[in-house]
Amino acid sequence: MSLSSYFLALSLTIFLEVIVGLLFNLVLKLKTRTLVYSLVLINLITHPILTYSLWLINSKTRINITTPHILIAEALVVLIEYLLLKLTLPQKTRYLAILSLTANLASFVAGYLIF
Amino acid sequence: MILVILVAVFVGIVYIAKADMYDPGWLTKECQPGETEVSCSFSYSKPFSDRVGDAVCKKYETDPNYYELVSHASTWGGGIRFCKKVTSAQPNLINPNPSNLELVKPQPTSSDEQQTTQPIPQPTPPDYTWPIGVGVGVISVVALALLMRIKKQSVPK
Repeated sequence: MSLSSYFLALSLTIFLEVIVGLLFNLVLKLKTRTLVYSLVLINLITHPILTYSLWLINSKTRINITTPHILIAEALVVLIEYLLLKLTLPQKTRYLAILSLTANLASFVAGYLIF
Repeated sequence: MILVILVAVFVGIVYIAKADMYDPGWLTKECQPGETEVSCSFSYSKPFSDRVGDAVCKKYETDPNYYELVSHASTWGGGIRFCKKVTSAQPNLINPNPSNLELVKPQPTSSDEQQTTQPIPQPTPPDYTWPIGVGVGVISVVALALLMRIKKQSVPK
């Protein structure tokens, strides 16, 4: 995969998650800029690590990455993103869990449906 | 207002970019050890038209020494990744007339005899594991540091 292709995939993921975050913010009423910055930075942490881990597992162990692997990895990402959101924005933590789940579900389903 | 703009932009680009949300195969598939990977890209002059600018792709598609590893395509174009098959020593062909092909074994010389006992060295692809890993680590640490800064600002003392 070329670097430009990866950055395109990362940008689209961030874009989708920010849209979901902004929709949630209609209820959360958090500072928009803080929420957007947080979502972008959190995705800059989780997305490269997830992609690199999958690539590493595939290239070093020759394990074929299948949907169950992706689902487990996505579940971990949901958890990590929730914890980071909770750390950054300690208000309304229950909603942040739903936000993390919905945002990741949206990007996952979009990737599956669109491709 | 920001939300409306973002949704509008997204709706506008989603059709163009739809297939560029790569599947795991495009991200993770690799050639077998010893094989060399090559890739090519192509584009469409308009959606559902013939591929343009894909002379390189066609070259590899028709070359029996290469096989397709994975491909992707969107409305604007796409790419194909090929692997070069690992082949043993090629036989020498004389007379290019297909009806009269003849295989000729080369006469062994002292240096050839030495070579046959040694394995054929395969070009090893460069290993980017560490540089990419370091890059991912640096990006993650910087992003985490910025996140902590946001936390300090967002949490009232």
